[in-house]
Amino acid sequence: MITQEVVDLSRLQFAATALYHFLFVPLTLGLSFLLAIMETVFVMTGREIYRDMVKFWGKLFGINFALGVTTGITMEFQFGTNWAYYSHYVGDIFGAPLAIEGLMAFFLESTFIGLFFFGWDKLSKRQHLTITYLTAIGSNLSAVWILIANGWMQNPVGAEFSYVTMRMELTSFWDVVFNPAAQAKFVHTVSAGYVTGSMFVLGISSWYLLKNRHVEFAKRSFRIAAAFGFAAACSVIVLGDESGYAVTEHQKTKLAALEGMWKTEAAPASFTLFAIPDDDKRENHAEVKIPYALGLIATRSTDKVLPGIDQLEAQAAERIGRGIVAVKALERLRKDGSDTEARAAFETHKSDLGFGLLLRKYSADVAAATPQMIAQAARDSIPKVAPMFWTFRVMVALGFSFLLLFALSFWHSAKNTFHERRWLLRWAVWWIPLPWLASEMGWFVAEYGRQPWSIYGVLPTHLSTSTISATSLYGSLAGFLFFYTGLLIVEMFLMFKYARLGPASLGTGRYEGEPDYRPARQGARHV
Amino acid sequence: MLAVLWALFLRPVGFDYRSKVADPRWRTAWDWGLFVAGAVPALIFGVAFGNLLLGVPFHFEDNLMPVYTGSFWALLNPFALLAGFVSLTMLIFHGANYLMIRTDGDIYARARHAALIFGTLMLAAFAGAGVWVVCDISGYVITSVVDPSALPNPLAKTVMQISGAWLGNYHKLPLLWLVPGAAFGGGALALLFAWKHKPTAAFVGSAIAELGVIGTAAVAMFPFIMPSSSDPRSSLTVWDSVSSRLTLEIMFWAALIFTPIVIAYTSWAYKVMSGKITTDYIKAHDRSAY
Repeated sequence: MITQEVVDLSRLQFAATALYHFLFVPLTLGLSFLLAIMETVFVMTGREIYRDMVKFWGKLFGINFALGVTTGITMEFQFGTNWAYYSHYVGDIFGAPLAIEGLMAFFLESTFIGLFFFGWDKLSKRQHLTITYLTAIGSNLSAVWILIANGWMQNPVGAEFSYVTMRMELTSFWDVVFNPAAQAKFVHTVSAGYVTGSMFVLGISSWYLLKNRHVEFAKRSFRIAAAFGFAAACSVIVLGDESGYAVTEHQKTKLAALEGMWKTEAAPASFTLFAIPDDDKRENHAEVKIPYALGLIATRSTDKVLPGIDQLEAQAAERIGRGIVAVKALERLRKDGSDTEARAAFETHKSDLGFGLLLRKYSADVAAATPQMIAQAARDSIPKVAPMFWTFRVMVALGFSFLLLFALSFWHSAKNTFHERRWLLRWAVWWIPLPWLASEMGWFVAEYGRQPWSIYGVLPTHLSTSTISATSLYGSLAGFLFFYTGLLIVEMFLMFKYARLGPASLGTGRYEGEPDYRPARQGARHV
Repeated sequence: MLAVLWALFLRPVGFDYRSKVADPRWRTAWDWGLFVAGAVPALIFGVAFGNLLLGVPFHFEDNLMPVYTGSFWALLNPFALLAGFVSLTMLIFHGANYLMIRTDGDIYARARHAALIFGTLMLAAFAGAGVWVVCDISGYVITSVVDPSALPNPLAKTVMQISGAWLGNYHKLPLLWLVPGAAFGGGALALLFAWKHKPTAAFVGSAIAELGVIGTAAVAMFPFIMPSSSDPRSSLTVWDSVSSRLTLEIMFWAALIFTPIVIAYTSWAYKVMSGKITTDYIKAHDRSAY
């Protein structure tokens, strides 16, 4: 039987494996385009140092890419192993984008990554450049389709529930593809990837400059990363705002939780810069507020009211009431498909079916639910405020710190003074891990903020799991922990090893640290 | 399935990492990892197919929540393991033929040796599994009228387990005997060509044999995809398992457009990378390729 423990363990497992997977995805997204840019410069100028850059950063890309693929397999497996009812319920919609992702993107990226590494001697310069671009496009297209699937979980458009098949059925594929929630998410996520890739190249290049090693190589890499990173950091913030706007439209509970809006305020609402949210007392302590700011950012108007948690809970309670009618009518329809009265009742209240199902957590028979259960279920419809409030603010603060760092790096690289600004180089080295932290927090806000739903407003998370035992979940969790820890240690070991070696690892004889290294004459340019 | 997953973990990582540290122990460890990553899924996919032919103990609850009532170890029964062995030997055979095309010298000789051994084993195991199905395994048949155009609902039919039912499709359409025929014929020809040092022809032969082996099981089971041994009416047939018409249409067009593109660029990639891999080539690309 499905217990709360099974649900919690399944959630923990999914969260852990998804966050782990996303340690590798952003670097793949970002670095692939940086490689394409470097190789474009190589093809245009014919200077060998740029090819060495592609090869060296490509090596680090490969180390990361292998684990991205590996941990990605887990994600698709988990839908079947741990989320069987979810897969049944939404497979008709969810399946197509994922299948198209495989056909259109994953095959592309994984075929051409092979040619990227092994094709240097077998292809012309232009052919190889095309391959590099196709790999980059492939990995980004892959993100499009996966985020379309994810966007649909946040804002389930273009689908309708069928009581015969007991699942959601597709009504408009284009609504799913052009779902505003998915589009906003895609651009925000890939630009976060570009920031990550740029920070990675910027930070490691700065480290070489601080150590005074591979200086020409590092300076060129730094410049490219600074320019690309600056553009990416601007877009990640602008598009993050767009993503937030989509949340305002489609997920008011998420917005209320991450802004800590316990009570509905008159429009335009104020933005809470700092507070200590208290989920038990349902209020904030030590608030610092900026008047009108939130209303202006979130609704882009001065008169639209943003509902607070009090109002949202009251709405949820009403919808639960109508949901009970829908669930009961559905049960009758399952027994006798020709029951016209039940069908009429079901059709009227079907949009609230998911809210009725929220009660299943407390009572197998939703009609027997007590007013306390309904009040509790309505309360469940809002995610916990404190974790949402804080992760969101840390993410945004990190985003602005990236913008500042890239802006300064770009400024100093334009003035050609960056290699003398040791504080800037040190800052870039220390900031290497932070884009990952920001991405992980972003996903936390997006997915924890979707709770208690797996499909927002349609299917509660606690109904989405497989009928497996808690014991087997502990077993698989232990397995993941074992394998993932091992793989991460190996990955980090190789990353550090090759990052320390730098371009000397290519064995060209052109970089210091190699046995047959001959320094170029003073003032001589790399050919 | 988790065994497959964890084994698969080692695959992309293994290929990329095995040459990244110049210590023979490192290389050996990753090569073992790659061995496990290749062998375990090959075996388990066969075991899964074997269990499908036997039927799996599961049922649907009224809200269509699927519930599996067997144990993990019950899936590793003798027939399923034999099916796993067929799958494993079949893939080794095919892989060995490919390796013969791409290599020379010592590795070529070892690949040929492996092809001859595992090709023979595959044919024997496949014949054995066939006899087992004919003599001892009851198939499933739908006993109610099926409307293939109705909305999918796995609980709307009745199903019976009948001895010899897995041969029903072959009796109805004797032409289908060509499918197991292709498995034996392709396999035998592939063995012959491997013996005669004609690796490309052998590769084509083992490809036909693979289609034949998988096709034989598929023809036997049609229209069943996953029969239920504990609650036959919960069995999944092709008509119960489909997506909605709209999704199927979209996937039809997506596949129609993208599959040829995928095949085209994959063939091109193989063409670019074609030719024998020799020790000289590997030494020359020691640093750059990895």
